[in-house]
Amino acid sequence: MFNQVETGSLLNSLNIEFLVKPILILFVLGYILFALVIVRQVNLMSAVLGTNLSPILKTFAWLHLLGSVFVLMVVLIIL
Amino acid sequence: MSALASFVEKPVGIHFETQEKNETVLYLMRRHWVTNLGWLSLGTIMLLLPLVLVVSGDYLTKELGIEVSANYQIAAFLIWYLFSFGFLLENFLTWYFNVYIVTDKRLVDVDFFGLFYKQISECQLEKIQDVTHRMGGVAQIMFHYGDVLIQTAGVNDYFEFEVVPNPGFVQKKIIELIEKKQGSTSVSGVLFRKGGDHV
Repeated sequence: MFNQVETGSLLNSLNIEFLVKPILILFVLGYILFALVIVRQVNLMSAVLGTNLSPILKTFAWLHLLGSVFVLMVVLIIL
Repeated sequence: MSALASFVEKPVGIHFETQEKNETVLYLMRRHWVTNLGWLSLGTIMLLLPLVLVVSGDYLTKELGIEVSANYQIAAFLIWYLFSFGFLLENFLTWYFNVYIVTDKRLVDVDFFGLFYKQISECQLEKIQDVTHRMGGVAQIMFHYGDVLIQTAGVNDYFEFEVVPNPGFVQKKIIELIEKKQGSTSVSGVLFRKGGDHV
């Protein structure tokens, strides 16, 4: 009986993990596209309105993109 | 920190896409900082939420029987903080780059809507027929911000600076610029209604 319950919960957790992992990967992939759009957007905005802060904002946008790629790597490696 | 100010007089290092060589930017305005409190508060809550979950982690595990493996917790935290940073960055960019510019020749309204749409409107000082400002509501009275409505003679019959700081001062300065441009002193008495009595 104990073994059956343990096997059942193991199967449940496996099913959930099989379901959650691809969803997380798809989400992060979508997020990388969003981060790319932000990089493009900051470049466009800076072309329309140039300010002293534009280079810093561009750096933040690139860091955001790099961060999202890093998170994808982490998700692929640890999950 | 004039780079982050909502109202900058004679800003240094600012130039815009359609600026002419002999054109000087006199004022640069953004929405008043109070209007950012909504997304700033939400962003702060988003940043603090994982800490609450860490503190209540034992309760969730023991009382509700919810158990998440360490790797999934790390992944969830990273994704959550990335998403929170993106949310704050996007809102900041929208506030920072949506500006109203007053130059010695014209008024320029730079608008970015979301990620994919931009609109730049401009109005020559000569075409302005009427300038009004309005303030309403507790927040606008307390923090002294409001709208400046500029009626023009063109097809786009009015121009609006929304929720900018010190709208009365902006109205006064625009009128002074037009008077200077036209070389007339009768403008403020005849063509313009001063004050917030826009009907």
